Amino acid sequence: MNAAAALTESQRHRRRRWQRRREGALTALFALAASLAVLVTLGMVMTLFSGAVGFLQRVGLVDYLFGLVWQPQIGMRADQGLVEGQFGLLPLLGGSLLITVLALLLAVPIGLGAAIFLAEYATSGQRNRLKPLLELLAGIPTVVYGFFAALVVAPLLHYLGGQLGIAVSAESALACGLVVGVMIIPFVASMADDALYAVPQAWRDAAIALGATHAEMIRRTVLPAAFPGLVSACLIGFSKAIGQTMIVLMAGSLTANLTFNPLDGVSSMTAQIITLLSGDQEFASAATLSAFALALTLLILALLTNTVGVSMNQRWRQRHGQN
Amino acid sequence: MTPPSDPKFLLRNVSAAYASKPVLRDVSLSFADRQISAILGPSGCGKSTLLRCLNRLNDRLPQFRLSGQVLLDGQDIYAPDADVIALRRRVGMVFQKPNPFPKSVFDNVAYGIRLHNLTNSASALADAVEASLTDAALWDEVKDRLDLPAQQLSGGQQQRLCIARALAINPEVILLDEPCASLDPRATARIEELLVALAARYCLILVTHSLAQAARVAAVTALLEEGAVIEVNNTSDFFTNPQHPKTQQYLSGG
Amino acid sequence: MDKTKGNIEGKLVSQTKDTAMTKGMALSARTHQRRLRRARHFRALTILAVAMALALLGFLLTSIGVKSWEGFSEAQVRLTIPLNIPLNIPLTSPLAVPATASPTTPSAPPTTTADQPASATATPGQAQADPFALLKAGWQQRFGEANSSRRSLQTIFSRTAEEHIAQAQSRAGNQPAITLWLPANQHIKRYLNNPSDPGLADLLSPHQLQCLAELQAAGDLRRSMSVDFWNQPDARSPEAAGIAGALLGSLMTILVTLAAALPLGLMAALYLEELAPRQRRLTRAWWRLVEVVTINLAATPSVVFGLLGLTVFLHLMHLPRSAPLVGGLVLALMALPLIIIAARNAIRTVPVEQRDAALALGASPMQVTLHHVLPAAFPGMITGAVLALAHVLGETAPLMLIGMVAFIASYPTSWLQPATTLPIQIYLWATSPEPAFASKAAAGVVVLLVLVLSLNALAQTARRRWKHRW
Repeated sequence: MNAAAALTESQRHRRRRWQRRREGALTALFALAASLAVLVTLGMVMTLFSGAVGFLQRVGLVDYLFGLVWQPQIGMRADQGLVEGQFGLLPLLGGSLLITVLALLLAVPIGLGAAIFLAEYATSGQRNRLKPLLELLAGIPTVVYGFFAALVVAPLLHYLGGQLGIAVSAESALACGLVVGVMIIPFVASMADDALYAVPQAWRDAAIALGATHAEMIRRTVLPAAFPGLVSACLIGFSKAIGQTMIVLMAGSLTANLTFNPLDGVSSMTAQIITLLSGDQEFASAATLSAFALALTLLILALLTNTVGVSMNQRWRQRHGQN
Repeated sequence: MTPPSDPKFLLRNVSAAYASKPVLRDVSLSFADRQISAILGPSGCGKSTLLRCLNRLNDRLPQFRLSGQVLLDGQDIYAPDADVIALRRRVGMVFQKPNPFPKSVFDNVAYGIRLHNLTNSASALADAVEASLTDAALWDEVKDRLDLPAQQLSGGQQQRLCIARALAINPEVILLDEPCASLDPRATARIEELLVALAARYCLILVTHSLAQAARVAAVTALLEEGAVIEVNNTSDFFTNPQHPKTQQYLSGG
Repeated sequence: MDKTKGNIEGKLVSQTKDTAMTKGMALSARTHQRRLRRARHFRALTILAVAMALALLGFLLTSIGVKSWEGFSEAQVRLTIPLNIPLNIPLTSPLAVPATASPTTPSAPPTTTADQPASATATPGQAQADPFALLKAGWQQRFGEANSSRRSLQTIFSRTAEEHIAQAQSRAGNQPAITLWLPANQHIKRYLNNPSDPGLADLLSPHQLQCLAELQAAGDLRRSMSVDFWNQPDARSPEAAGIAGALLGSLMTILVTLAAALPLGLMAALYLEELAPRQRRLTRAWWRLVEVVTINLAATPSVVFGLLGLTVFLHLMHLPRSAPLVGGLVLALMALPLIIIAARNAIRTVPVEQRDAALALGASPMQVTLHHVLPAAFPGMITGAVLALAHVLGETAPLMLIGMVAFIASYPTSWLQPATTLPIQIYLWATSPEPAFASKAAAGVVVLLVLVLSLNALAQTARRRWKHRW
């Protein structure tokens, strides 16, 4: 190496020390960014807990969890004499679950069927065309589905009910459920397809070699093998369905009815949170604080199902030696 | 200047484990300067791990533990105050699969020089790159296309580029992890020729699964099995007069 | 996996037939037929599922597309506007009063603003003339004095008609008159749909209806693509409401999100994959916790982020409601885990040999990360980030909780001023009692879908192209 151009040892040393210090600072910054997720989660949990605790101090856990009426009186001004309403969770939980179950009834058969077609029957050309379409579908914003539910499906069902002589509410749970179902079809299909695709080809060959028809091979070999993955797809679908907001907000009823009739109007926890909190309101009122309790309940439900789904999927993948 | 009593690298009772699964068991070996030492062994016997202990490339593996001493010129490279970066400057490495960076030929060779601030003038840098490429017997083939993306070279050329890249920072030891495993016989022959030439100036430690290659290029050969050293000897004695029954078995293809 | 598909049934038929015949086994032809039939049915069911999914998608898009046409279009009236009207005639005087201040009657005294006619007479050119006066003059030239009050003209024309006239005026130079297609009130659209709509009698006077009939007969009434939809903010009346304010609000919000979430997300992902120390049990446990928390954040319902934003940004930090800055930060919280997860996946595709090569040359972990991992994973990271941004661009609920549901009839001019975003504009229009807004909402949906889906498609194409680099 050219001696004249080469740096002296002490120069190099100084540069190295400077560089190390810079790298140390940068590494600390990176670590901080990585830890931000914990901070956000902590903030979220603290926010929800403090609100929920304030709410439960006024209403009581039993009244909240087992109350049959949800009727928060939102006093517009303090001088109206805030009428404390009733804060029973069950009508909202029932509404959320009713809509979610309806959604899964639509999305699971269609999603799984589509996934089986994609993974087992589709030619690679069909697969290459359908799979991106699926991913694209998953990108449609919820407000679009909300519009669809409120201005197309709900009036349509109302009209059809009228023609058939059945009383269908203009804000029926059925309309919400169906549209939520349409929304989660791509999620269920895409995850189920991944699960099916991960089943080793050798198992299929073995079943075919034993003389199974293609359908028998799928039903007896592929589906049982992929079962945990399929269940996890449904659970994650459930988690998405119960956490969505806009469809029920736009197409559901504003009052919470405790009913299992899909033709009636129901509200959901998410929609109530928005109704309670959008606009100016007194921050410390029971109605406002109830939104935090609702959000906490919702978060627990959504994360529980999602975690179970994700961990099932992971354990299943590990067992099959895939990553 | 290369008496066996003054080895470049000295391993004393080195044991290593990954996630409490032992990989190296009580390995004691020495590697002399200015010659090629070969490490033979079946796949999975720990030869690559052993090699990667010499430049502490295993450090970042989670759950990796090492005990014993690894001495470079008599200094423990695993000492608490040892400088990993300085160590890797002195100990270069060439890998099984040619792994040039997705940069030009020139930038690949210049990478280490720039990294360690070895020079601050463009002409000195160009000279250093040319010298390294010449030493790696690649200069004549690439001198007109130094701007070419390295990944467009042939496999053998890529491997020689990786050697040039290692040479560019003036190391004292070069670790070679099956450098010819992914090359065809002709490219292999060229690399072996090059290694023999480099042996005059560096301490080369070659891990290989090819008996023939060890026999062709190495001065000393060691056999590793299940993480333990079975036998070390001069290459000619190792092949013609193996002492250990396991060596005999290995050499006869068992 | 695809290689054996399709022909399996066919092969199976011949195989099993052969064995059954040669070995004479008890495999009766009827059982066999049933099995094959079942196999066909099963296949048909899966195809049905795909067809239903596609049909539902088709229904969704078609119904929205059909509704959106009304929102994109408007009724227009062709009118010749005189630019050289003598402005000292007491035409303009009552009209200089803003309509919102007090609805003036045609018989109002011509004395409200004295200086305007004066200045207009001083310069007989057209530049200074009030656009509404010009509109009124144009209408009067064609239909006479009747029904030319501000109020009755407003039932014919859109409020934005004046802006159109003002623009044409500045382009017109010294022409004596210009003929323009002016945006009309939504009643006119109803009239175009059905001229004998009984509801129109309440909205328009018989003389106005007569004028409309006259215009239609002369070919001076049409339905056309609305320009106002693209360059107006929201408004109280549907014909004057546009999407530009919401688009600008969305852009500002998403820029904040991008600026906050992208660097943080990339740094976090690089740290977690490349730099996080994992040798000790405690540090390993901590970074494992970070991973779990990140995955859970990605699955947290969006409305919960809104609550977090409401509490932290509005109640604790006292940032203004409805501001793009706050909205962008809330969306950044949502986008962060998505970006981290996508970026980590991209980082994992960088071959370990590259890292080894650099480390062996004496590069520090940070140098390996910045010199080799970041450039190699960057396309994948950006793809993931675009997908995450496309996702949060369509978010509505969390923004509603930080007050971005207000009616805002102007463009946001700073990061702290109230703004609205595209999804919220759609929500506001879709839930408005005025039916004409519903079609505006549909048009908004089309705009949002085009934006979000083209971002998605862009990212996916890019991902597919970059996939096979190594």
